[in-house]
Amino acid sequence: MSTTQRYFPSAATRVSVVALIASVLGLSPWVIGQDRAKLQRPVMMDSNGPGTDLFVLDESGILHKFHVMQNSLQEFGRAPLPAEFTPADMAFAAAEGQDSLLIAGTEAGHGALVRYSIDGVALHTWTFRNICSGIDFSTAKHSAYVATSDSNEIYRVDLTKPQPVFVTRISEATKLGPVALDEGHQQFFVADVASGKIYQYSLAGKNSKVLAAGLSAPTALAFDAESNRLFVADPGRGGVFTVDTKAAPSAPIEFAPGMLKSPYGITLISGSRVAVADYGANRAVVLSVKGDALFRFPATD
Amino acid sequence: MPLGHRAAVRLLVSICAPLVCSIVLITFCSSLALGQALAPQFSMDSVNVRQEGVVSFSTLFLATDTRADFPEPRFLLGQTDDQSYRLYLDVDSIQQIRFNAFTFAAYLANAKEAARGAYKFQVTGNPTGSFRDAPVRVSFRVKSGTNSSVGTILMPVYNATKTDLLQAEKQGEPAYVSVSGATPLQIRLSNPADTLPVAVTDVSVVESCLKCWTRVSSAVNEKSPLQVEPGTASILPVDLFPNSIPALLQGALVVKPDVPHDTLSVMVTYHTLPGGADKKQTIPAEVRFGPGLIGLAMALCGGIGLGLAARYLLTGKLGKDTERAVHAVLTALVFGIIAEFVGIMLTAYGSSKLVLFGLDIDPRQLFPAFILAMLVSGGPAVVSWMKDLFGKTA
Repeated sequence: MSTTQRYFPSAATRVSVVALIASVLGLSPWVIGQDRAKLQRPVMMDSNGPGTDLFVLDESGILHKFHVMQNSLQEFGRAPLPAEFTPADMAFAAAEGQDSLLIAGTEAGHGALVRYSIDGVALHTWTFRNICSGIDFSTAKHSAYVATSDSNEIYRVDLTKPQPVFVTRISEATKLGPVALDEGHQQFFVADVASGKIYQYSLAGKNSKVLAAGLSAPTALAFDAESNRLFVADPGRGGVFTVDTKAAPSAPIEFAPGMLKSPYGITLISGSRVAVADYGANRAVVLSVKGDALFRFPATD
Repeated sequence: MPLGHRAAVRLLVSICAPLVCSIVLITFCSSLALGQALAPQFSMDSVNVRQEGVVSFSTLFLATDTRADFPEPRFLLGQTDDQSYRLYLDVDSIQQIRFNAFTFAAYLANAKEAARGAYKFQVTGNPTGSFRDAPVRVSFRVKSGTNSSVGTILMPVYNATKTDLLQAEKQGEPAYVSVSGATPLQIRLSNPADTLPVAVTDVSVVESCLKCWTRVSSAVNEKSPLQVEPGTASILPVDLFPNSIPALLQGALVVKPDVPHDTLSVMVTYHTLPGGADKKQTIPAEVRFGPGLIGLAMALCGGIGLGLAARYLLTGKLGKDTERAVHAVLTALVFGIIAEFVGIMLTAYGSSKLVLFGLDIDPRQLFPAFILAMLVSGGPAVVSWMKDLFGKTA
């Protein structure tokens, strides 16, 4: 039995004459015009290796794909993710000759890590006993590091193996969330969403410590290996903060103050720039590493 | 200036400058420290929500704020038992974090110095368990110097893991949907008592029979939400526009009245008020198309029979002068079916109207189909008699 979904009464699904002509001519969706240049409630994002492509997931489960240009983001496609999967964090992964997105979240009450093609097709699923809340991917090890929010554990998932491997448990944490890897120093950072702390865990030394405190609800991390800075999106405090990873404990410093409403996602993109998913403002914002606003998507409200 | 004096001044400056800088630095740092010290320690106790879960809170002092006015309903008010501090929760600042947590801004004001502003805190709630979004009374503590105060505030708490906050009334039998025109489908949604109000902001429908519908719409949307208060029920209106012929065919062979012709999956998107996260809930709605192909056929046959009987009574014959009775009955049957089919096609797919004796009639309904068949089979004699009876032209 085939089914289709009909949305109403919003005009979002209405196809304009221009869009129809454009689709007949085979033009990319972003060419179609302002009707499609929308981003509703972006919640998480990540970029490919060189940062030339940006992937943004919105609250309704639509994956938006962008080319990162010199002065703009150009959307080149969208793909819906299955409704029964609730994503919590995502990471781009280029492995086994295929670009993909690893999305950690929950499915039917259990934690799950799903590897999707960039067209939104599920390729592989790893299941967990606990709720998956954070993820980052190690290109060198072809492995993902996954955090769980209800047991405060970290697992390593080798993309070629069926079972996750336990790495550590941050016993003093309340609710672990996003993860960021520092491959150069063999360490990762993981945020405690409930207590507003960032933990630093050494993979070599197998020990953890508090890197930073004084945040409210850190929902995304991005590590800049060039400056050894950790970028933290904190919608609770309504901004993005940077943390010096060489100093522990380190006080978070506000980055681009006053420019963001409710940042949920963050990632580094090409040209030493920072992309932020501003959930409250319904846009993706691109900033320089100094915190200057460069451009955004959509370009206008 | 003499050289000796200049050297003396330089010496004095070299001695004093570090001293002055140190004093300025110490003053600056101590003023910062004083600012921090002046802020009272504020914490919120964990709260058990109906034995179904717990919410713990973390608080973070942000800054002193000059705000002195905290109007309702934007701000929820709590107070310490000794009435020394007031706590204002800014409901506009409530945000749902995707890791099943929520955060909001709270202002703590000294009751005696309320005009001087308040201390702004950011609070993050961490729910565990399976409770539904609800208003609960939360204890908070304020410690300033050696004084310690305890108070309570009635505030909303949220839990992303709990879904299906609304209860849809179970259908006793499939809803009747007329194959002609629009049929309003009313879904009764109730919200349990002692919870938060729920605002339905979007409705979407998945149909099992794709061809059976031309349009399904609802007046409920983000700009015009349907609010369901705790302990009450509201009607969610959905307008159904069936596609006549496929809908008739869909129900043609399903005779049992409790078997649905189609099942709609009505997906409602809603959130609790204030500040709840969007949740989706699917409500099945079974429908039966009416009047049904068998009913229409019976109305058609009945109309033909009555038309022929009337013709016989008015003219003494069933057909033309030399026409045999069987031929006349078959002719009436064939033309009755053709008239009904053409009538359905015109009204369903064209913008035409079928007007008989000045009245718009819809041949997809039982009685109009019956009348149409009666007039066709009755012929000019019955039509003339009807004209005389109503005094109008067809």
